[in-house]
Amino acid sequence: MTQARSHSRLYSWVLLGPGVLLLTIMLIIPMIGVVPFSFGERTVSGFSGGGFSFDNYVRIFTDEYLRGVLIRTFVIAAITTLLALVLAMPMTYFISRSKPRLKGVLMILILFPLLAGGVVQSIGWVAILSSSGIISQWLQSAGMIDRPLEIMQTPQTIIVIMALIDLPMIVLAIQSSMDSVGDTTERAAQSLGASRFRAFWTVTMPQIMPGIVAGTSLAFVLTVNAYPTPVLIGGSQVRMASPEIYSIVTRDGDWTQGTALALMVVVLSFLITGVYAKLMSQRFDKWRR
Amino acid sequence: MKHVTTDPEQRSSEGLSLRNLRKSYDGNVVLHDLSLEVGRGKLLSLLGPSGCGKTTTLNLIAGFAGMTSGEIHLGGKDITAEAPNRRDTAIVFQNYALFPHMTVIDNVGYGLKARKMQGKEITDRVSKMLELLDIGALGKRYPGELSGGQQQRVSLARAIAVHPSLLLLDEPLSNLDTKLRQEIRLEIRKLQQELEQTAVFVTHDQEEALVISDYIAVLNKGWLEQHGTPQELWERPRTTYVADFMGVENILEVSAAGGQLRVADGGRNVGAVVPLQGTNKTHVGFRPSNARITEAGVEPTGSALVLEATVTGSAYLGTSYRYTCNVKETSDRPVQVEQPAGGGQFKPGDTVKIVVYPEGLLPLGASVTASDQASLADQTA
Amino acid sequence: MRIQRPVLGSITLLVFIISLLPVPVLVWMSLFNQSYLVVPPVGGYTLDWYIALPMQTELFGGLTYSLTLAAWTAVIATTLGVLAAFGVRLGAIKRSGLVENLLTLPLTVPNVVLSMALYIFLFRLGDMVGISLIGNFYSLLAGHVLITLPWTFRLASAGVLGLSEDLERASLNLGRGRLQTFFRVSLPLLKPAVFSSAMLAFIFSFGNLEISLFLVAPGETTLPVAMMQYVETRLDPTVAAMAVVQLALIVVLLALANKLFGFGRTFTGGLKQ
Repeated sequence: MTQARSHSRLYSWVLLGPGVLLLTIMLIIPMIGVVPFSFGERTVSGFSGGGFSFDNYVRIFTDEYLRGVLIRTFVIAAITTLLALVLAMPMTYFISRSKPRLKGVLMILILFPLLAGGVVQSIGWVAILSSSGIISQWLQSAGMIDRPLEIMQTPQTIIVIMALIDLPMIVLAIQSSMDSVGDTTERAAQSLGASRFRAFWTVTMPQIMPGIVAGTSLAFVLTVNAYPTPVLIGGSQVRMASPEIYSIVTRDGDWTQGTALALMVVVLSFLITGVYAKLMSQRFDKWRR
Repeated sequence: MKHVTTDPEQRSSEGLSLRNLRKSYDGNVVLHDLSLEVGRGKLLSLLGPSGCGKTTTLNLIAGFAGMTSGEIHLGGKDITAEAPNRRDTAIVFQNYALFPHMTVIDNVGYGLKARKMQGKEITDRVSKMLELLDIGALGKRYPGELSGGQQQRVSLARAIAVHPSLLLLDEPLSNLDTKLRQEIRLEIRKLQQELEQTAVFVTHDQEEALVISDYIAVLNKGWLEQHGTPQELWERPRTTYVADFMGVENILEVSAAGGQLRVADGGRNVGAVVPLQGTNKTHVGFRPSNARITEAGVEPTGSALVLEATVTGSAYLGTSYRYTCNVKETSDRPVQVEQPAGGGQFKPGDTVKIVVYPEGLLPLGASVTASDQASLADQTA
Repeated sequence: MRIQRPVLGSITLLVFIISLLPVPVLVWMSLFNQSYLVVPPVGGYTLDWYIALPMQTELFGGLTYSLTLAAWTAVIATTLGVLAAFGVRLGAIKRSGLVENLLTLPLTVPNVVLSMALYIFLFRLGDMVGISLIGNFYSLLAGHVLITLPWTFRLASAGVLGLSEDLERASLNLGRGRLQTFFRVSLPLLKPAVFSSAMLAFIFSFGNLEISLFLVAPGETTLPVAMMQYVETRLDPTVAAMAVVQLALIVVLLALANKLFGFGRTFTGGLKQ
């Protein structure tokens, strides 16, 4: 018995080995390696900063520009996630209650933007929304506006576009909960006199909370981390964290400041999603089976 | 289709009335103009195997599916177009469908809150319900912490609490073990009679339907085969399909003429004449317990169906023996006969006579789907 | 039910139309017979931009480089993901939740940060051993495997969890060894999950920009990096044509995957967390 168990434990590790090893060497160690870097002092080359100081971290909060980038990133991510959730709920509900064939098609359609990637999608949106883009030209030629449309490089546009990009992730996450809950409890509620909306709100909604928490957490993190959309849509006006980290390193050559900002973003987003998941799970853990 | 009503009280407009319910999916008719009446305070069982249309009927009554044509009236009101939550029906589901995130109290009170009742009223009604179903101690628990039987009781309490005009039960006992099932079905029956609760009970279990119902409707591929009291169905099944469902295991093909049912004098069976009820009877059936098995030489007294057969198997059932016999020169399925233990015993290989007296013989028509389908289709067209 | 299903359907349809809007716009733009974005196009329509694509060394080089990279990524990430899924199912490991969290970590760490960390790590490691470890295909491959592993692991896990252990027990009981059981029973049953994983890894690797940012060598960039650099200076039918080629590739792969092993079904139940 004991031998059999130690056998399968060995098998387990042999099978997990390659993946875990890759992640340890290529993710854990490099990320830990970045930590002393971010506390280093900037040298002329900007790269291997020796010594130890909190300057880079202090600067994130004292420098108005950097602080702005950080706050903007998290605020935009929060609003984007909320918008994506609002859009995802009716869609997920519709897809979940569709017949299998239609469901397969809808899932592929929902996944398509995710699969196309942020670069292609953002390029498409630039063509549509930029001041020399299609909508602007049409409105001008129709005489509805007399100056080029300036809706790019605004937080609102970024939020809408990124909500559309996050949509597949949230739908995927909620879908599994929605399917496992099924519709019998909702029917039970209706047969007891609850309206459709009330039945959904009081019965289905609490049951899919785990899926909603997982989906929104993921969407939030992905928005915080977004790169091509803030660069192409936000441009120089709406700077967000990921592009800023890249510019600090490549444009200014300041590796120590770049790594400090990077770690700050990672720690903050883990903290926020961690607290969020904890708070939410307290509400539903007791009845979760 | 004519109504098979046996009790005038059943026509009361206070109860449930299904009028020519038809449901088809993509041209496939799954329910053929079903008409049924359930008197107020009565319990009707819809009995049949899966795919017979019983669950479809239930969903139509509850409003979870739209019907192709027909009308549903409840308490004298046409509810055909009403939304599920405005029908005043309450369902007990097969998997109970308790709300996992609510306590037992909140589950039972759910329908009352939806009906905008006041806090005090709700508390009183809920505790009365919990007491009624003997689950008073479980009020603060979550469904995940309850056994199957307890969940079933909560589910019943939740449905009954709203005092629905109609209680719908969708195979509510099929997830329970045998002992619990027998216990709870008696309780459901007692409760239903005490509260004079009009109810429709869906099941595939013949025994369950017999024990619990005022009336049983046997469905077959979307057709109504027979409708009547449990006694009527048990004693006078009209078709081979219903007979099969009612434990009539032995069914033989016969010919009928001149107000009498005649079993031809075959190669190995002696001819028999049985008084006939109804006209288009094509089969005769008998229960294993209604046949007698004797040694080959013994002659029966009086008019009876006699089959010569060979015993191929025997099983001891405690109070009786059950024999499987091959009737010679027929390709019919083996005949099953049950004999009280204590009499003579037979072994496989023995040649025997199976005797069935007229009172044990049931004249049967062919199943509705086989014979009446065409004529019914003509009528509705 | 009668009223609300159409309402929900309309919302769904509307969001679909909006979120897929870039696709028809890119297709339309790639056919303009002029090198700038003026609508309606003054020069009419042409397929010239597609024909001239191979001449665009940056973009076309990126395309071939990304295809190779994505193919290798798909093979390696799928293999690792399937192995890990079986490892977790064996379940003999304490705290397998920790392993699962580790395997999905690359999804939550910003990929730009990951790219930077990898660069710093490999640069310093190379410094120590005296050979350059950065700006080559293998460092890029490592990064891409890293970011696709969470997906292949999840899809493979869903497949592996759906496998009945009794089938494997039956095979073992009938005298087959563990390895033979794996190759003759488990793996064939997992075919849809394995191919779906590989497909997803390929597509995600192909479209990912961030992880490559620090790891690409000058002159040898992936397609998303090349496209980003291109559109920083101009948005014209050439880059639209390139985007359409990429989209078309994904559509063909999806259609193929859906026909061969029901790719859409893989996701009909959503992704288990």
